[in-house]
Amino acid sequence: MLFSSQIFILLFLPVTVGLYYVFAKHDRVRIWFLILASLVFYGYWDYRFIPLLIASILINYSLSLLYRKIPLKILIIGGITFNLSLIIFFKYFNFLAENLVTDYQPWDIILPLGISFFTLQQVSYLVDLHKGRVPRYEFSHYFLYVVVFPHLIAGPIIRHNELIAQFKLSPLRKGLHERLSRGATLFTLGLAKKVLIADQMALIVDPLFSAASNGSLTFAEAWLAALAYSMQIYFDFSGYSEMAIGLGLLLGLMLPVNFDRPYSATSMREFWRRWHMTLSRFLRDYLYIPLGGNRFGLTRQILAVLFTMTICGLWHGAGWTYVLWGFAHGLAVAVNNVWKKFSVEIPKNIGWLLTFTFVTFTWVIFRAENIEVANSVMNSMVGLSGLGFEINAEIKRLWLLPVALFFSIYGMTFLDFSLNKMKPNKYLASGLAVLLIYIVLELGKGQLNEFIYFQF
Amino acid sequence: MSLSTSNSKNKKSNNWKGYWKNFLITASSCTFFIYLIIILVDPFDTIFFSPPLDRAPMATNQRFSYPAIARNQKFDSAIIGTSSVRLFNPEILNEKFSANFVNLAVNSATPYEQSRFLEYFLRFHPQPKIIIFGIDIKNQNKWCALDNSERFTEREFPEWIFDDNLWNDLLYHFNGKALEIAGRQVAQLTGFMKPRFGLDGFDNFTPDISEYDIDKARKNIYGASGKPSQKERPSNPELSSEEIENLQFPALEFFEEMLKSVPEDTTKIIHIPPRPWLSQPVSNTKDYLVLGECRARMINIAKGKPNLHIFDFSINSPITSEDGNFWDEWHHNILIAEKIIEMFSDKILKNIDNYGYFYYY
Repeated sequence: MLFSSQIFILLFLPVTVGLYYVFAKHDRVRIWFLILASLVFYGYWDYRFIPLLIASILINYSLSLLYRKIPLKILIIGGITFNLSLIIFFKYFNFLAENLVTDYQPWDIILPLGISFFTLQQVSYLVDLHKGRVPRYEFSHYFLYVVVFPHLIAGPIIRHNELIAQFKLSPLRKGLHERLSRGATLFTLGLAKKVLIADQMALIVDPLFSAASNGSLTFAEAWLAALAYSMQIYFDFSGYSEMAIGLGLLLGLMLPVNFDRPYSATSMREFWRRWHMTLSRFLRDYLYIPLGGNRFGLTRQILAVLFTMTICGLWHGAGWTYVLWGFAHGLAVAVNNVWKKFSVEIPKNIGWLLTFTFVTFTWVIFRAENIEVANSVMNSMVGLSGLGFEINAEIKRLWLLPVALFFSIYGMTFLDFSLNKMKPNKYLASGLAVLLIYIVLELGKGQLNEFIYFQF
Repeated sequence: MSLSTSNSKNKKSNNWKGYWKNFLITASSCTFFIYLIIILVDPFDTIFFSPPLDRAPMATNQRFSYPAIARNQKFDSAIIGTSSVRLFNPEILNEKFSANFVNLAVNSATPYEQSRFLEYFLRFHPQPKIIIFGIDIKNQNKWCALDNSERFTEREFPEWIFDDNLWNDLLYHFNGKALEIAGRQVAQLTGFMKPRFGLDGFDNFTPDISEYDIDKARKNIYGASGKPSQKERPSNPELSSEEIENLQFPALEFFEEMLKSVPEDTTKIIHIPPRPWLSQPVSNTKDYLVLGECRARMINIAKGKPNLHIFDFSINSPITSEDGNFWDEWHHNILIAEKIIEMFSDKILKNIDNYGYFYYY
């Protein structure tokens, strides 16, 4: 079920939140009800993956129980191997086989939604268990931690200790109406970002990348494609994350922040501290630091960064474009580290320009269906196909692009507004409710656009 | 997050309960009233309990507008097809055949969509008098597609209108499109707007004949040059007889089913519309052979059925050899439509042949 669908907003959400508060005083019922609702939410896409999700939870939880009795490292390694095997099979098997076996006919493997997210969370749980950082959790709490619907499909990637402790808190505790109000506001504003900006940017991006597959773009078209995709992916994913945080608040849960105006970053290191923050944090804690981080000299640090960021690219998708995108970002972060090491000072605005240009440029690799198309678009961006300013593809909503650019770089985040700056103004409440219904009416018009991060 | 505590002295500036209440009341009342208005106005005339009003087809997508017309009991005959038969005026047909025609031809309708329209019309008119099938013979497309991938076009097709379930229609009315068409419906009911299509489905969608520009038409027919391409006739057929025999035209299964679904007593007119002759494929080419095979199989399916007449206007004729009869590759002008109707009635009612204009089977 998509957050941006009528069935979710008009049926699933009111019924689930309503019953959740009916059961608010009965902890066990409330927790199991939310587990059930989350499985319905997940199974609405494809019920065949519910057993896989439940099996994954059961195996990881059983391993943790066993490890507490017999603390053998092999149990943790086995658990991590199990989780990685799942993701490798469903997500990377065809990619690996295509690159290793000649004339390979791809197997018909359907990627279970959210697998990249729920396996990472369970890996972090096992690692923390080994390090002695995991208290004993009730099974229902662990189950809910993995499946609770606001973050199940596309994050934010949450640590067990950030969420499970909150399950014990009564949703009716002090501040109930404030949480509900801020949650509803954030959900509505996140939805607006998705439907009114990200989906509109697709009307520029899709025709241009489609044209790029059939021939080269002009200089202007290539830059438009890159800039519009930069906006599409930001508003899509940050909108999704804000909706998720808003939904969490409606249930009395606080989920971690995932975006903090990444396009205002003045360096690549800063960009990754502001973009998909929960993934960056996961990769830092469970990959970069175990690889040595910055503790063993610059060379080792550069290698750790390159490896971490390449894996980050591969995590996004089974394709060479993602690997290349991750590696390119790794190089940029490594260069940034070298500058920092030698105390090279770059003026903030130059740093911002370099960072934004690099990020925009590399989004082309991320979006392109293959390396050839990426190459063709990037060649046009640097003028190798001429400096034409004509726009031949049929694109719509061009006027929205500068608005989105300005807003993404200079605007206040909806998260900051909804969680900190907003005051309880009744006119604002009514205005946002009208906006929500307007968007719901728009959503009913036709084909729904999935969130970009669902494919990862 | 700076969630404030409830023991603030200034209750007004910390009235989150009021905010939440306002949000909920506004959202739920907007939802309720917008939905109520849409259901009462019934923009597509599909809600079985909506108040009886003189609704008209107001949606620009005919797939939404025409089902209501198709249900109308005053009609006993129908035209099914694409825009190539939209210029058949039911009033002229009514006069010639003493029938009551509704034109259910829909822009770019796929064979599947056409079959749904026929099935829907027959559900409300089980014993129709005449059905005209406009069959576009298009190279490797529509009826002659070599796969069945084209079930729908980019225009939305509302299966929920065409199914047997009257209740599920209610699920498809809370959206911006239904609200917009409801607005148009109200404007139509209050005299501020004209119906988007005629109440018998007819709509002359072509410009006024005084605006006709032969050069522009030739560009529409032949491309930017405005001239037929100088295609050379291959000396040998580009497909072997075995390859031709193995061709598959899945959409023709719809055609066969559609013919079967019409009662034997009903007069069935299979009309293959005229197209500019020089825009058609050159003999011996693959396109020519595929098209010829598709046409032959279609005729073979239909031929010999009771009360069935096949008119193939897609031949070298006084109509197709004159570019000035066409707006583009697919659409002749309205005068040709009237002429074709005349020739239908000549042949079917008076047994007069207009030799050289069509093949008759």
